[in-house]
Amino acid sequence: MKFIAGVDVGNSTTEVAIADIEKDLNFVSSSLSKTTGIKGTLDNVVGILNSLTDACKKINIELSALDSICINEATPVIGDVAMETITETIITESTMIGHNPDTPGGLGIGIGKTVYIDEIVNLHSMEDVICIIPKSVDFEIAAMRINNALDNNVKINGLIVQADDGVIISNRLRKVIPIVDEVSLIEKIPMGMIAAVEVAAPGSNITVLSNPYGLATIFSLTPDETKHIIPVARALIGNKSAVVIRTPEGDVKERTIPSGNLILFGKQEKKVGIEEGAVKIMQALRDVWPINDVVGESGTNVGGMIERVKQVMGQLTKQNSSDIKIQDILAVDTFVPQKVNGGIAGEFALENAVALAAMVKTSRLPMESIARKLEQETGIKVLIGGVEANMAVLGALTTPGTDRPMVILDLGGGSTDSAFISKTGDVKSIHHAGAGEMVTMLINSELGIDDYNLAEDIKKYPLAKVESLFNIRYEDGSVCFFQKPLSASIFARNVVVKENEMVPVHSKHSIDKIRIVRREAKKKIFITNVVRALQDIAPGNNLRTIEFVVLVGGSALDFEIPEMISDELSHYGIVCGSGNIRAKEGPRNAVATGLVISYYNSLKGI
Amino acid sequence: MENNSRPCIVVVTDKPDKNILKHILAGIEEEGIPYEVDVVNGDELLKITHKAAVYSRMGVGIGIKQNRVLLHFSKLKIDKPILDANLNDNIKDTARNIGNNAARLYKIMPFKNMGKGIMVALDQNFSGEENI
Repeated sequence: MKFIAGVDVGNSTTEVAIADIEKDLNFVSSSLSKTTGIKGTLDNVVGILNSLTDACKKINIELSALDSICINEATPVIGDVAMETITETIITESTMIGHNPDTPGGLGIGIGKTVYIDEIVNLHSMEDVICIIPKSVDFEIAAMRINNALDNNVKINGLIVQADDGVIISNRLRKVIPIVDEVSLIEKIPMGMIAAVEVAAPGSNITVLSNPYGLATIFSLTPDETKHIIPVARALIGNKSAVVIRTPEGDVKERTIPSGNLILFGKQEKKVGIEEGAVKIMQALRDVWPINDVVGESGTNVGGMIERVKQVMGQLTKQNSSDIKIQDILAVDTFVPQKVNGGIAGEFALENAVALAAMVKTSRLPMESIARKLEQETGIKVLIGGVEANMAVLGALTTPGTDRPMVILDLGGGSTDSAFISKTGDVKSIHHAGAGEMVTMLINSELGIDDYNLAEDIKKYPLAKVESLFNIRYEDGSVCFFQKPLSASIFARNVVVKENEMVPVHSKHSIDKIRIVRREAKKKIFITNVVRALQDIAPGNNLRTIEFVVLVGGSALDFEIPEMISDELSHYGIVCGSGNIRAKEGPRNAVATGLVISYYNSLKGI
Repeated sequence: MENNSRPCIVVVTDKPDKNILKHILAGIEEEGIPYEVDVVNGDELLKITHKAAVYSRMGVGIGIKQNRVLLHFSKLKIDKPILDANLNDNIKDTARNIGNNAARLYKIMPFKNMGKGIMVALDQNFSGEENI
């Protein structure tokens, strides 16, 4: 018996493969554990020992029974992500309230001067008003006062209410008028101004206040003024209820934030503005490809953003941040729900943003010191194997049904790594910025959930809606029933279904919306990167010269990413699927397996 | 509890705090769900509230005795109500939310904050699942 162990330290997992090479190459065990510390640091040794012990236990041997250990020459590639908002919506003089309280009251549209409820007793009859009711006034008293005023022929055409009282006030009024409730900052509403209140019928959206000509009709606007009101109308599209108040200076502005230029250094130098969007940035990148470094104009937002990325990289790799060179970027257009400046009901507007992933190649990671430490701790000979990409290819080729020429795509957390092996066995590899972490960032920002762990869960697990205290319905429509009642905290909510836990998604988005955001984020990043990778690596940059693509790495285990990629690549006649290393490991363990094969081959002199 | 001809939430009361009752009913009404109020007397509010839930054609029952409030659902075990709490502070908002939640139990909408007193049993995560 002569046992050889291959160890692959990845960004998130450490994998081990053990083979007995006494007579033949015969794999006997494998294992997987969490990587301890940052890839390429001495902290990794703990994780390596855990994984090795685990693999040895499976075949009932002591760790000391191993003949030698091969560890990989980890590719020093680290990725990071950042995001920059490029538009901003500002409401001046609180002219607009567009929000969706669960239960507004009444129905229709009402127009009048804004008046505080205490003042309505002083009003002349036949005056058109919109009445403002603060939380301190009880709903019964408010309804009574409004009814009295209506009896005095004051035309109260609509209400703006601070508490969640829309329906109960409406039920006590003698006349059906639109009531917008749950307006939190009610004291900011200007008094004595013309306002319009609209509440849509259940199941439909407002139609007058979201239409520029509707607004023009109500406020008797000139064609020129109508042009200026467009942002208001746009901001109210899709709402169930809204208020628009016309004040002399009131306005809703949407402005582009000057974010500065990215400067790409490649075949030539090229400047591109962040606010021009992802398409332009990626075009500029292609124009100067391959690139040596990227910087942001100093003193601008993008300058700070690139600087932050480099600083993080510098800290991780213990290098000066000025020595960090960005080798690739991936820009993606996205949007961020942001609280509107000047809003009075906590309105959100979807602002445009650009997400940026950057990939940095550092100097060699200190694998030698890891190897030495491991040797000391185990007393076993430790060898540093070949290049990670070559090992991954060797391992991936053990997938049944594959042959050279072949491409492997390693879809990781920080970067998308790809390698091509030609018919003659030459290996070429490349790394691209943008992978799993960027997907998480997009999900996090587009849903506005501000919780990285939740976004990570949304990425990894299917969604379901809790439909009663006893059952959930998955996004695909299947139903799961429970004997014991479910927690009240997840009742009627959208949840992420993990192995033994359901995590509620605290946002008002529908399950379909969350699903679309999740899938789009995955497509935007992985499909873009897969096509970029294949173009860069295929002979003659022609996708059609590739026959087999094998997906490995953590994201190949995702429940939908492999399908998305297979679907896209089928247009080019490429056979694509998740790897199945040694016909039993799935897309895991490729590098560890490759290390052992490589060592065995070198012993046999192949 | 005589007339059960229309679907509604059944609220059973035994010398209830007037303010609590008012705002619980307002909470139900704000959500657009009908209710009926019955006066009962007896020591076993828990049993009576569950009975009210079973009796309600919406399966939702509320019990109020002084400042104690129970929220029950017909398909739950008698001793496992959704809420069993004594309201002492912030009565208006809490009572309103309890009323909202009683209606939301029927409307299948996420609950608002009810403060303390939500049954622990309901907070345990799932076990013994079955696919249907």
